[in-house]
Amino acid sequence: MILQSRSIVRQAGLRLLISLGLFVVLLGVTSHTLYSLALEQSARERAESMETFYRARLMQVDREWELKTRDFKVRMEETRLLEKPTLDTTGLQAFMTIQGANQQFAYLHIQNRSGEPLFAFGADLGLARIPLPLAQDNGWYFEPRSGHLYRVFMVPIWLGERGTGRIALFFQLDNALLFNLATPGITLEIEHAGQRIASSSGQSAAPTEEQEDAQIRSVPWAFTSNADDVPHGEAHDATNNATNNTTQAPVLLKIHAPISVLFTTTELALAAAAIPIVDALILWLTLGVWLMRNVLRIKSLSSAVEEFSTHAQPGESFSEHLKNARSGLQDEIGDVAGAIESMATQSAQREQERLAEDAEHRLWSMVFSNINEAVLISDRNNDIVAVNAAFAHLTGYSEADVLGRNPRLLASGHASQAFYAAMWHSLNTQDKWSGELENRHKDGSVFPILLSISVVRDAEGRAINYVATYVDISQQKINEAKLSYLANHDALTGLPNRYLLLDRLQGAIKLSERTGQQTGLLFLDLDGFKWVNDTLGHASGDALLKTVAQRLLASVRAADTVARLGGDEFVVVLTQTANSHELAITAAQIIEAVAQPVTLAGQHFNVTTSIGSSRYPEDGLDAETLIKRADIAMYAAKAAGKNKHCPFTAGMMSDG
Amino acid sequence: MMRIMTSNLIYLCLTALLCTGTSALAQATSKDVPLEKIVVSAPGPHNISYLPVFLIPAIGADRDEGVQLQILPVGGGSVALKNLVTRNADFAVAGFPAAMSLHTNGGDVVGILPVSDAPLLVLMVRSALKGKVKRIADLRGKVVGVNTSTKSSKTASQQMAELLLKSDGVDLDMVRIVPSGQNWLAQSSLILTGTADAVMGDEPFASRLSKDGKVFFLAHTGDPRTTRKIPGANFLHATLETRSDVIRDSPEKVAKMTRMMKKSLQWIATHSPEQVADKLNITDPEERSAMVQALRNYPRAFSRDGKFSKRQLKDTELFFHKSSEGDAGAQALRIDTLINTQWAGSKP
Repeated sequence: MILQSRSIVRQAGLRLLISLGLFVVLLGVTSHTLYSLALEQSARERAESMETFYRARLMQVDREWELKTRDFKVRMEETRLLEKPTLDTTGLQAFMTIQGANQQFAYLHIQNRSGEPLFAFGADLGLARIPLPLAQDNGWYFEPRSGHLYRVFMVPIWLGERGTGRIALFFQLDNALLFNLATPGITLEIEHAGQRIASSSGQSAAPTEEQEDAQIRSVPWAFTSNADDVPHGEAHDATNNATNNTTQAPVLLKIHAPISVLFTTTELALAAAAIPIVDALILWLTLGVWLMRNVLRIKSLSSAVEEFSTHAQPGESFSEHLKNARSGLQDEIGDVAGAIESMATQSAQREQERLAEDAEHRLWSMVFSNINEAVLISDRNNDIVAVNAAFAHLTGYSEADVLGRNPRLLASGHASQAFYAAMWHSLNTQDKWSGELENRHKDGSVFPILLSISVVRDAEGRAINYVATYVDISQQKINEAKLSYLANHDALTGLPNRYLLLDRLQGAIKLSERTGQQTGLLFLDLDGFKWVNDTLGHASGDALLKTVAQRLLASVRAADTVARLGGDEFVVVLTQTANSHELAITAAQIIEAVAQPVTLAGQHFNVTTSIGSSRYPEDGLDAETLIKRADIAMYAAKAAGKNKHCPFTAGMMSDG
Repeated sequence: MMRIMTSNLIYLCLTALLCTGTSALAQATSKDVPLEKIVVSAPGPHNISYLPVFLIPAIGADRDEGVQLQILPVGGGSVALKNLVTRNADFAVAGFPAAMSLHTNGGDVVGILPVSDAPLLVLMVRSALKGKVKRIADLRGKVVGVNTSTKSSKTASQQMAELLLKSDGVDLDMVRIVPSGQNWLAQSSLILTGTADAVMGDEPFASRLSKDGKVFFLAHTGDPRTTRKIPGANFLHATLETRSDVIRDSPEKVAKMTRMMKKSLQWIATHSPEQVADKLNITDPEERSAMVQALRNYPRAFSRDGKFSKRQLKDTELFFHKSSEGDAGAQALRIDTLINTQWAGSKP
């Protein structure tokens, strides 16, 4: 997996590595410093201890050599070989051999009381006499050819008749001496006049002062002389050429105490390699695992959010990511995971609701757009915010024409203020209103509508929208008018039928009641109509009836009503009739008009009518009464010979 | 063709001139370079077994290697070995059984070149005891000198003496062993003064004393009658030895030392005994005569090629084990672990 540069895993890993690196570097530097200080301190203390130790040890060596000198002197005296008048050098050599003298000292010199040499054994130093003054029992001798330095101890020795001479033993300060003196890890050197004489490390590989990893101490090799007034390394009186080789310079024992490492290079290398590994392991186990685990949990959170942002709904992998983020822990990351899950759930729910709302909105939008009813929506200020296509079709106003305008632009002006007041009252109290109204078309025409208005309120109950639906009821009105006409008129003649007659008659009666004028009623029945109908057919009869109706209409005023009751019976209502005379005139005019020749089926015929009349209020107070009595009067006219007018009289009631 | 030959000739001449110049420059440079000091400790002087050591500076083999060889003559191989382990010397020449003894006691020693080809040890008895001491068993109650041993190393001389005594049924607590040294003064003084009744001596001292009538020989490693009684009697005697730290830290020093020793051995092999004696500047006539005689008597005294012989190493191990019976550590020691043939080489 390639980690992106901004990956939190990579960042965490980098920081972990940097932390580890810094930790290891600091640990390394600190450890190295402490280790170096500890080693240095240890070496210094060790060197100081060594210095003290070797001061005592050198004195001890001096003492041993001194004792060995005295011991050897005694042994030689006991052999009495030196007392012989003629010195037995072979015997002395045998004594030396059997004593293993060459392992005990480097050189032996015996001289008589005059300082003349008697016997020498060991290294070829070419000495004529012991290079020490008689008053001194020890000293140094440096042999320049070999570069060897010797510690010399001298004691008196009995020589028999020769008196007391001197015997001196020379102990070489060589590598072997220092090797045997050196404690493990310590390198010893003998330095004389700035020259290295011997080293416990051998001929080569002698340590130098430049070596940084060693503590160096110098211990002066003091005389063990009992002559306290003889300073160390001071030149002494000498009587032969060897005196020049007696040392004046101090002899120093140099102690090289190396800073003994606690670990070998391999161990240090292993430790240097192991410590970072162990540290890294510890850091990883204590912090890294936790950090990486939480980083992965955070990454799971990120993946969950990414998953949700991509699919806008929590899927299986979303839940899996959140499960990984929680990891069964009740910590902050777990809380965030819970919050994300809750947020996602709510968001998904809202999304579903939004989708449902969208669907509903689309549905309603489609309904809004496609509904046949015109819809107008206005805001709280009653400014139009939306209209549908049906509205535009109905009113002639496009949406652009009306948006932001008040619906009153549609008002026809026919409705009263009271009408509108009642309408708003209903809207304000019942949130709805419905009723018929006339609107004005964009072209100025007025048309009836059935208007329904609903109020949309917000949570606080404030009206925020008004939704008005319009239905064009022009056709309905026309149909209603047609039905009304059909219901109130005779289909053949177009004259008001009996129902309308009664309505108008009652209206006339009411008018007469208010005005005090009379209302006259003429009841007509055609004479001989049955013959025409039977002889010429119903078509001729119908034509006759239409002709008669036209003639009746032409015979009365516009305010008067001509109605057909059925068959060949007609009624004429004369409003505002002054008296019976006027009624009779009108009846005569009708008789005359009807009597005019009529062409039926190509033939001219003369038809007459018999008329009976009644008046309000003289002949009756209601319509039915007035019609009945006029009918009675018409039968009287029939009886009187037809083609006559006969007003109602009270006597006709008794005749009947 | 002619032109090619001319060119080759000119090239050869130039090369020769260059080589000559380079050689001269090298010589001039070598004179300016300080000599490297190498210290070797060996018994002597003028002990025939260790003669090649002392011959090295005499023939200038050390200077040829840019070395100033310092020799520490001692009274016995064990002392030489002690000088080696105590850093007084870089190298020692000593009997290898002594080196094995030292190793058994914790000493760091490695054999790097065989010097002698056969041991030259003589059990000599002072003449005054002639007739009284006719065989080794007659040494009961006598004082016997052997080459000086140390606490940590028993010399081959002492080991041989003890084996000889045992071979003839003499318990070691029936004789007094005293150090005799490995030079003329030490060995002769013991005999001449009667300090020792017998000495396990070296050549040419033994032959010189015998010639003077001071001693007679009771046993001799050059005599089959003697070697027949001693397992591994043909052991590796004088051997060039060093420490493992020298091998580790200064292998070039080891290489130089072995080259010098081989050159010395080759010089001996190619020169007469008289020339050897002259080269060693032996001025004393008796000593010179004895040395020349010994060199003539023992032509196998020195290794001719300076290579380790497996046969000889096997004999040496056998001899050492025989001489150290009862010492588990010594019996477990294998000679191969103490030999480094890197510089000397080996042979069957």
